[in-house]
Formats: sequence, C-alpha cells, structure tokens
Amino acid sequence: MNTTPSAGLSHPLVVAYLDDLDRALQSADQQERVDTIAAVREHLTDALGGNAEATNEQVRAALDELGSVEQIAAEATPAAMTHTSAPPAERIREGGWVAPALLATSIVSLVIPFLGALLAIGCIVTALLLLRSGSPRRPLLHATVAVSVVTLVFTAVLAAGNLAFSTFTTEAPSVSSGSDPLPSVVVTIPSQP
Amino acid sequence: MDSPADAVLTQLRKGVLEYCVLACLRQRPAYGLELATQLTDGRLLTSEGTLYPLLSRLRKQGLVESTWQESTSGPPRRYYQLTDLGITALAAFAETWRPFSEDVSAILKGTP
Repeated sequence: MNTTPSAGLSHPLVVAYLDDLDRALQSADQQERVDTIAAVREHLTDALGGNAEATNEQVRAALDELGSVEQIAAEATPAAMTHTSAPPAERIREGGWVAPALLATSIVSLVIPFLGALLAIGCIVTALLLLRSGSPRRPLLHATVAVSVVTLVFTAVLAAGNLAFSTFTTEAPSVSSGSDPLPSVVVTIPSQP
Repeated sequence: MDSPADAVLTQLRKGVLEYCVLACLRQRPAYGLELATQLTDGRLLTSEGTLYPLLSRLRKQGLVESTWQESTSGPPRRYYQLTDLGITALAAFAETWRPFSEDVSAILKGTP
C-alpha cells in the first residue's frame, strides 16, 4: 500500500494497528483523527527507519512504544464535545470586554454633569440588551445598570437644584436693592494756615 | 487496573502536558518521534502515541505550526514549531506554574 518512503508501514502488524487506530478514533474530532493517523504513520516511518525488511520484533517494539490505540483515542477530543463546548467559551470571550467597559463608562458618567446622563442612558440600554441576550457577565451588567441609575438620579437632583438656584438669583436683586452698594468715603483735607 | 498513583498522574497531565510540549519546542523545532521520545523519557506521556492528538489540538489552537523539512536519513519530516501565540502561552504558563507548584509543595510539606 505504500512505496519506498514509508515501506515499513506495509508490515501486516502496522497495517492492522493503523486500521485499529482509525476505528478507535471514529468518535473523535475529525481533524484530530486525520492529524493523529498521519502523525502516527510518520512516527512509524521514522521509528522503523523506512526499513521494508523490519523484523516482527522491531515492528512490535515500535508499536509497544506508541501504546495501545485505546490510549491514543482516550487522549483525543470526542467529536461531540467540540460542538457543545466551543460556543459558551466564545460567548464568554466576546462578552469579556464589553461588560467591564460598560461598567467603566457608567462610572465615568457619574462625574460628568448632565452629559453623563446621556452616557448613563446609553449604558442602561446596552446592558439591558446584553442581559436579554443571555450574556454570562450578569453581575457586571447589573452593576452597570445600578451605577447608571445613580447617575440619572444625581443629574435629576442637580437639575432641580439648579432650577431652584436660578429662581432664587432672579429674585435676589429686589432683596438687596435697598442697601447702599458702596459706602462713600469722605476725605477731609485740613485747610492750611 | 489503574493504581491510585496512575489516576493522579492522569489528572495532573491534563492541565500540564500541552505546555510541556510547548516547552520542548522552545529552543528549536522538532519532529514527532523526537518529541515523543523526549516526553516519554520521564513520566509525562503514558505512551508515545498519545502525543499526536495533543499536537493536533495545539495546531488547531494556533500555538504550534508544522513545516516539512528534508531529512538526511529518509523521507521529508514534519517539524513542529512554536508560533508567537505559543511563545506567549508558554511564558504565561511558566510564570503561573512556579508559584503554583511552590504553593502545592508548601502545603504538602509533612505529608508522608
């Protein structure tokens, strides 16, 4: 089945071993199955030195070193696992920077008067959307909503305070109009004799 | 069939072995048999063949890449080498492993 470069691979024991390995890896991830069989063939080519006349003992020793096909298959990733485990891992990675960034933005919004309210509203909307899409960073997103709500409350308090202050200052002149703005200074110059 | 020590070794290998493969490739690229022999000299691999599914995963993760090189003693060989991502992953492992293994040793101190 093989020509000169991997002549040792035509030994019946090797052929049987590779067939067994292929069967043992049937339920493994397909890429790992293909790679592993190719790599084991290369390994045996090297181990048997491309020797077409390899003795049964030499072949057995090389296959013993490789280990049982079950041992090798046990090391491979089961095909089903690659499908179920990949999406959550990806989701965590994707949501990885968004949630902390949102929380940081909401904290920044706390210290920016008025403009912060716009930032806070943006943060709340994004955090709620992420929460609804089932993002795994729920605590961070809840914190973002909480901080943003605080920003909105602060802004509302600040706005109310400002309104009260401006009403007060527009009425203020009528209160102070009666008082003398500056005391007059009388300088008496003594007359010279 | 597995002794308690074998069961422990199986668990320990799971988190460590792939970084040991990366560490073997730190200095220079190596081919399969060379790597397998190096790793089975100690207790790191159960058998040489178990290296290959692992190498396939490392390639898929982009930590290792392979190239064919001419051999003086036979057909061309597939050489495995670290990628930049592999170098970074190995450095992160080494940095974490040292304090981690010190903590384990410290806590095991006095255990018969």
